[in-house]
Amino acid sequence: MLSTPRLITRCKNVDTSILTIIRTKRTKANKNSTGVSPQMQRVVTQLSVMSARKKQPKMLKLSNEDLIKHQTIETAWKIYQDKLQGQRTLRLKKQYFAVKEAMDTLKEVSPALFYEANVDESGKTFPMELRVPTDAPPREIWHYDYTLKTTET
Amino acid sequence: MLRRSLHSTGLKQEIWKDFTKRSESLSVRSPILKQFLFHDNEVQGSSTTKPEKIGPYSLRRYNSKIRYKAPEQIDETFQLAYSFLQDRAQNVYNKLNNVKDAIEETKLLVKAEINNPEVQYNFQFSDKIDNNPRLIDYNLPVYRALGLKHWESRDQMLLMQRLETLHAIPDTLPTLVPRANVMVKFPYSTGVNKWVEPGEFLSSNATQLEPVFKIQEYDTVDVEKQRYTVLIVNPDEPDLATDSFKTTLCYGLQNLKLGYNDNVIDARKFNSEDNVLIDYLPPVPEKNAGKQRFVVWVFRQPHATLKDISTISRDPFNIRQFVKLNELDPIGAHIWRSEWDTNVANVREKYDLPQGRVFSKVRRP
Repeated sequence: MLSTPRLITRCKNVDTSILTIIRTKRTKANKNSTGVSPQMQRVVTQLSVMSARKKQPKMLKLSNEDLIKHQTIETAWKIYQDKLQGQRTLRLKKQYFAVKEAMDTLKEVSPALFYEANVDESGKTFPMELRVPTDAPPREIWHYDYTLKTTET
Repeated sequence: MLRRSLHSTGLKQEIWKDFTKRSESLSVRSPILKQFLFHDNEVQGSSTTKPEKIGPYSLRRYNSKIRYKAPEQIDETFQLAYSFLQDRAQNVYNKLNNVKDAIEETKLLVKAEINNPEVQYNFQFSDKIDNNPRLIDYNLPVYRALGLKHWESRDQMLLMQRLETLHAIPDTLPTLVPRANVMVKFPYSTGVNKWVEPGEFLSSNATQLEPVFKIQEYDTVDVEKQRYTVLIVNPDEPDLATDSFKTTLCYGLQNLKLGYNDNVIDARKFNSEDNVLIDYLPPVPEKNAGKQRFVVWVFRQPHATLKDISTISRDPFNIRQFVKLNELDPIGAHIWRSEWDTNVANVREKYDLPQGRVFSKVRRP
């Protein structure tokens, strides 16, 4: 990055017109032309000088025993999580089939109720009329003159 | 604390520490290492003559030992994880008592031991090729499963890549489903004392005496009954009559018996009457004949002996016909390459071979 201008002048065959970023001599006028604050620029410069290896997070150095211990812990945790996931899947499956059975029965017993239970409620929001009991009620307990907004207004 | 007291009173079964029925190679050999692995204070206290432990056993230098810092809480967490995994292994062993099917039994035996930290330690930190059966015993299904996984992670892919890019398949046999790890070595003063990487160029000096093979089986086979055939073929012998190349047989071994651990095939392992199908003829490529491939094929024999051994011809050798006739099952292969070099003349002299031809470029009409 630092030696870009020199590289360009050296490489005769390179079409320089396509390279748009060419660093010129730093003057006061063009100092902040990149739009980055000087502090930021310092960080960028320092990072660019540093090797890629040092930017990596440091690798944990474990002794052989601790490596095996670490792997054992990881395996046990994975197996435990798999077990939990399996239990959850099983529960959900049971719930699904219970709901399905109930709905099938409802369809046989009362088709009207089955239809009502299956009305699409997407887009429905929490009703304003509902109030939850609270320790600190508002001054105006109930909006007695509240009417539901109509679509005309 | 409660758990520890339960453990010591023996109320809880500890299957991974019980070696009455299980093999000794399922545990780490060194007692000190075991002490470090399980953080076993009881053992440590009893051995008063030993110096106080200062760091991990696997670190050799004193300085590294005192500088080493283990991750926090690793021993406690490990104990928890260990007992969790051990309980599951116990369940698998309980299930194993009712299983009659051999394949299912092998699967369960692998499942019961694969998470055992001692097994993992033995496998990860000891030599997997020239294995010490006290540490890695390939008779046990769990070590075979680990070995197979390790082989598949690199060496098997490397072998298949070399066989395919060098066109050993389909030039010798149509294809290969690799099941056994085949390794080749020339352990002589003239040879290269290492396991040869597939596709490597070897000088004729190095290959002048017969190679030593190591065939590692990972499948469950009947070790006592199963016999193996090994062939080395060269598909690049110039054939002037047809203006092409022909396949020749360099070496043939038959009716070999292998074990899971005792599987190095050298002169101690076979005798010339029963096992040598055809004597070793070392690679002696002729000048300007190009690079020659030497393909090692390992087969499982369906029968104890091969058919029509007397009529076998070295030059030309039809490997496909031979394999079909004897119903051989290819399980592994290896390949190395040779070229003419200055040692070829010496090797030819040793084996009383005629002087090699020198090929030259001819302008075609």
